[in-house]
Amino acid sequence: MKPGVPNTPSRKALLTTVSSDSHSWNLIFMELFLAERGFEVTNLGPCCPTELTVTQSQETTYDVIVISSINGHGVIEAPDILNALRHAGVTTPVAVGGKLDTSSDLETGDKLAQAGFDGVFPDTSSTLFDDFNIFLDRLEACHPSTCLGCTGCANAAAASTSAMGVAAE
Amino acid sequence: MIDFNAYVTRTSGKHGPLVQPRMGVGPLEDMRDGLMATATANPATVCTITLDSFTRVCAFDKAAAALASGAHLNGFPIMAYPREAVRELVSEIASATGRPVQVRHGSALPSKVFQRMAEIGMTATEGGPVSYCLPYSRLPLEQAVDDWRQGARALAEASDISHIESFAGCMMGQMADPALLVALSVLEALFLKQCGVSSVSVSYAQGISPTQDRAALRALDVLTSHYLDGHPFHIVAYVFMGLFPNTMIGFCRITEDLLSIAQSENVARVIVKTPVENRRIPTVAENVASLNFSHHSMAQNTMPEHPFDNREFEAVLARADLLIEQTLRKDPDVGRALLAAFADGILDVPYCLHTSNRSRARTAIMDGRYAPAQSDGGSTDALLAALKFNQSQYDVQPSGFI
Ligand code: B12
Repeated sequence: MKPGVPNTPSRKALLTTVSSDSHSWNLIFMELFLAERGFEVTNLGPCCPTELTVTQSQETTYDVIVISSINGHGVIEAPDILNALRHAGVTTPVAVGGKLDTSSDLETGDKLAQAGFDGVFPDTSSTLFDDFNIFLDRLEACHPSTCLGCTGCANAAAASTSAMGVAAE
Repeated sequence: MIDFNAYVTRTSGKHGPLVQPRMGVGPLEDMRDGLMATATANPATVCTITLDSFTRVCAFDKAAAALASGAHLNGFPIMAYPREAVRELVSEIASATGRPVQVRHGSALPSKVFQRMAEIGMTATEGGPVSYCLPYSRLPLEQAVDDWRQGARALAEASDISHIESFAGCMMGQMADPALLVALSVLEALFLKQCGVSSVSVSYAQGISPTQDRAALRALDVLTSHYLDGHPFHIVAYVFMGLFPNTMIGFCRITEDLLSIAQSENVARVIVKTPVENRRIPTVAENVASLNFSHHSMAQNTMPEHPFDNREFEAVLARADLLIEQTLRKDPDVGRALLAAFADGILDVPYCLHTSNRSRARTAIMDGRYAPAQSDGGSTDALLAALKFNQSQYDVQPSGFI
């Protein structure tokens, strides 16, 4: 546990992928990675149907939903998952990461951020895991009243409607 | 129509192992360019059409929609094109170059794609009820076995030169006991033979030790010859299918290690990777460069030699034969035998999350070789160190190398 982050072993993460992606080492890795950061992880496994991601996230309250995809179809399919989640009223922060397109296009990250993801982590970035760790820490440290509107933060939208807050600790 | 097995057997007899890319793009024109470039790269190539992931999971509408929207697919959406267009494409390659084309698809439910292949007049493909289900799908193994049985039979009925390659030598891409890969390859080949497929190929993917790989390839040859009992087959070896080296020298060294043992063993075909494997799908030019590098390396005979280790061979042979025997004992129908063996945990693919797989088995790296294990490190550091073993071996320059 990092100092300053309250020790809440019940932090829950839902780990999933897009329906056409059968790669699984990324899921095995991400499950361990999240567990090592204190999350209790539900790993939905490869080729996960969007409906399963939605129903699972309704059944249990998660602190974060992580979509990992490396087959290159992430940029096509992940926005559909996000839309389905939001449509179903799930407000949990959603992160997407991995090899998200077939062209290592620098615009792919922006495209996904614009689609409304709370955090986008293409593995072309050299600071991938530093960024992801910051994102995970902020899930807890950040509140709508204090949010700086940082990308990768679920409270950004709420914060933007209120006055600019002070930095979360 | 070109008989895939006859072509590969004959041509590899002349040139040594044939080289083949993994290649598939969305637009038909680009697919044609890729096939032409492969067919004309050097005298020892075989062409590939790799299908996209939507088509693999039978989301044909999504493949068509993505194609129409101009999105980049990770393979060729064979169902999204009119039959006539694909037939023309394949016959153009055949008549202009005389090279066969294999459809590579990764589908647990292949019968629709096979039906389309038959309508187009294509005869060669790959997969198997286990190797295209456990690492590729979350559908129950029963369903894959049923659809594979039906699909393979239909393909076999449509042509008397049908060919299917078992992909079981690759499974999760890495971290599998070579004996398990050998056993699964032989078992899937037997399944395909039972379905009436005219000829088959059995596969094996490079692991982390050339000595162990050489032993496994020999065991695969011995066991396939024994169990297939005269049914025509050839062996295909894959350049490492796991987390790939990052550097150009890493690519060259790992590729040469596999090519060297392929030449020494009875391998007729090799699937090669490219220096960009770890990052992205290669361009046609990168694929051609890799095919030519591989062909050239084998012709030059300057590759590192890896001695045959009889003890290692005996060990892989015995373990694989035991798995095959225990499985076949379950049921005279190989499909049902496979189901029973997975249900009992006789067959268990390490690290495979599929619900039809027990996933109790683990793999350890001992003395630079894969070995069956009960447990593993269980941390991200241990996992990445194991997955990146080949990067650590091949990305560095050999000592004494200036
Ligand atoms: C093993 C493998 C397979 C195995 C998978 C077995 C299995 N069930 O897991 C098999 C052989 C089945 C396979 C199949 C295919 N594969 Co594949 N595969 C690989 C390979 C060699 C290694 C992947 C791997 O295991 N990585 C290990 C894990 C631990 O690393 P990782 O996935 O890269 O994840 C890291 C980061 O990306 C990051 N990360 C991942 N997700 C997330 C999420 C977040 C939030 C964060 C912060 C970080 C993060 O964390 C990880 C650790 O650093 C890669 C190439 C390579 N890298 O060498 C190709 C590769 C991923 N495959 C690829 C493709 C295209 C396919 C196929 C479509 C076939 C084809 N056309 O070649 C099919 C896909 C089938 C499908 N329906 O999806 C492409 C993807 C290209 C792209 N994105 O542009 C690659 C890159 C190969 C290539 N160069 O063409 N594959």
